[in-house]
Amino acid sequence: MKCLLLFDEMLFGKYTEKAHTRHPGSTRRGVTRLAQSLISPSAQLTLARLTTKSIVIKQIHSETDTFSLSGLPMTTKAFTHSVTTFAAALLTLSACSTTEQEVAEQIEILAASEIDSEPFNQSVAELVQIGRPAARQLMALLDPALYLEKQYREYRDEIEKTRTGAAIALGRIRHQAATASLVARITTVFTTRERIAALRAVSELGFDLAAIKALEKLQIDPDPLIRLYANMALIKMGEAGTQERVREVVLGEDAKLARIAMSELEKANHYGVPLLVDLSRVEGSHQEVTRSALVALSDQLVIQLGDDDPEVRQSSAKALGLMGNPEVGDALSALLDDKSNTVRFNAASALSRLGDSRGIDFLFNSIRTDDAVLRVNAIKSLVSVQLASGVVEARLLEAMASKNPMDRSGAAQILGEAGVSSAVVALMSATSDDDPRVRWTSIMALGQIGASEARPQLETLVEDGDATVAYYAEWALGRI
Amino acid sequence: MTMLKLIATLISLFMLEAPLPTAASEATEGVIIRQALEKERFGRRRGDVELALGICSPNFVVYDGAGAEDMLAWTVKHSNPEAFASSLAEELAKARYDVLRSVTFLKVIENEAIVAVVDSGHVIARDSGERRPYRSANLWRFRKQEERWLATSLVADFGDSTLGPFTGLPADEGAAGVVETLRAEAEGWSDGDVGAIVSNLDEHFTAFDAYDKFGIATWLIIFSNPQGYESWLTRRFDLTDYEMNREIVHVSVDGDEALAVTADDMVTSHRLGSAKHGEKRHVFWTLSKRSGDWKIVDMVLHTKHRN
Repeated sequence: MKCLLLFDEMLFGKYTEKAHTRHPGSTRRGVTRLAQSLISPSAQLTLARLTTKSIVIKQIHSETDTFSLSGLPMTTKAFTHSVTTFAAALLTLSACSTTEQEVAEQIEILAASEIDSEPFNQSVAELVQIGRPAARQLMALLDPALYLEKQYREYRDEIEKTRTGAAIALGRIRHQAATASLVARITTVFTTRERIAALRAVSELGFDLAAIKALEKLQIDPDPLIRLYANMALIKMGEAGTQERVREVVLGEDAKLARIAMSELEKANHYGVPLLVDLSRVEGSHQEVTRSALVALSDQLVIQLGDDDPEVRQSSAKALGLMGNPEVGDALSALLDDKSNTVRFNAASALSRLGDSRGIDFLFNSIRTDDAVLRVNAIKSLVSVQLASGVVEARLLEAMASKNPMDRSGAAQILGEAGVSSAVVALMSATSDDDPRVRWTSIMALGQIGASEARPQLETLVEDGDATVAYYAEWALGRI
Repeated sequence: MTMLKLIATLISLFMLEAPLPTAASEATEGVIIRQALEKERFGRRRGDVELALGICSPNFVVYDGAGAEDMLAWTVKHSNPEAFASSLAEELAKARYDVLRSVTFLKVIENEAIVAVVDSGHVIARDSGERRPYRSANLWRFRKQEERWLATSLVADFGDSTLGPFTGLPADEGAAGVVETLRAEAEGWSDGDVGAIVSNLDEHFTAFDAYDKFGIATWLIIFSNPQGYESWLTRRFDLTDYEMNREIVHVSVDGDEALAVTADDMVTSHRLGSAKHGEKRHVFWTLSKRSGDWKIVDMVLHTKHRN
């Protein structure tokens, strides 16, 4: 009945709008009459029914130019708007209802299939395809207190299937609102499969302080598998300190657990790269697997360089830089024109780490920019490249002799922050530069390096005419 | 403005679509139920039977919990309020109950509620003044009728999960109707016949799940009326097939009221997949013959027993 009324309201609104278009400026009464004349006989009957039942139009005031819809006075424009609103609401509701049915059906397939069987995985994939509209129903499957009324299931085994499937799907949908519900499912009350599914899902949802605290508590869990998945989740939340725990598992005596750890690291996308790179350098039976995992990951990361999400592009570029495979240079260089600053700089850093001049040139050119943010990014990137590989050292020393003072001050800053002791002579010479910026960045760098040979020169510079230079000379002397 | 209206409309439509009982409403109803229980306590304390019985519905039933949480030990004690009233009057004439009542569990869904309380204090003999310590765990069922929460049943003195094992009472001739009803209900499952199941339900049928644990606090009201259960069964039988074997392990009948425990062996196969689920579960039932035939009033799935 409600839907019928909404439909009738839409119908009348549509014709009122038509009448308005044909006769702009006509009086309200005229528009209403015209609207009625445009409606088909059957619809006119509907309108008559509605009018007599006082459901839609209670009053028409030609003088005040207002309708009264179910007692609420409104202008024709507002009336048409509300019709549009109702139409949209109806369409949305109808779409929601269909989606709800689809989700319910997929949930039944989960309940009726063994975990990890083909139909089970297919059903999870369908739910992921539906995406966020499925999230509400999936989240209801996580909470034991919601298994009642139409959601009720008698068998614990059946609940394990629906709950595991829901957790996997929610993780893949990346429905962050599910984090708390998922974290609540990692306790010992739940089955191992449910806990692992929840842990994996939580790891897909990104940083969450409460989740991190809950995962840390699992370090005392008696089940090493649960501890491993908790640590993997922490790694994927950016808790780099956890890598050592997973490293111990890979290099440990439990071969089965080590295999699972390797497989999870491979699945961890760019998050797994730093540890995989590290492990690939440690001799042992794992080395071959690690290297092939890195090869597989490299292909995936190159594909991800074209992802819509700038965070994915940036992280993938960074990971490729860590891997040290120069063959990905062309793919990375394509990102030097990316619309995101961070993506461009991460790509340039990665290229620089690989010794690719395109990345190095990009970063050195960025030192010259007047844009403070870009300049800081360039300096930060070059510091990290220098620290990780040392490949830009010669270029930095070269830049100290550049005609452009921005090059000289930038290079001095990087050399200082990266602690390049071979640059002391060049830096000492730069303390007498004409440009005060070059002078004080060089002085700072000497202080950071701890160059004691520069002490007499710095003592003179305490009397420099430029207050900033004098200040940093004092500061550097305190560091040496 | 249009967008605001759209959002408001959608929100209201979704709210109509999926109304959920809120914690706030449960808390409000809980306060009223607690007040009713206090009234009953005052009645006992003052020796006022009328006040104590004021919270009972006309079909009030008392079950004897025999000090045990294992339902195999439970029996029907008073099948109507009159029998309870005369027993209570006799009790209160002899002694005064100076007890404190703590609510250990309260669950409300729609018009049905279950409350576990522990009464502790002293019973004081009116003639000698002798005080003896008193402690009793009681399980109350409440139903909201015409805006009033009335007690529909009481399991008196239940609660020790270490007692037992109990074997239960075998069904005798007086229990034939109860047995027949429970068997008919079981056949309904094997036949996938919703009608055969719901025809055995009382209009106030309520279902609980005890999750194979002692401790009322784990109970969940899973269906608060027969309609919800029927609609669940209809969908369930569309998607699954059941094989059910039922053994009736305990029956207690008093007048028009009965309780029973069954051991159900069941297997469920799904039409949308190859998984099969099965279990052996115990189910606790309360039944009533108020309407002429035996009907199931309460069903508690997955009850735990010491054996």
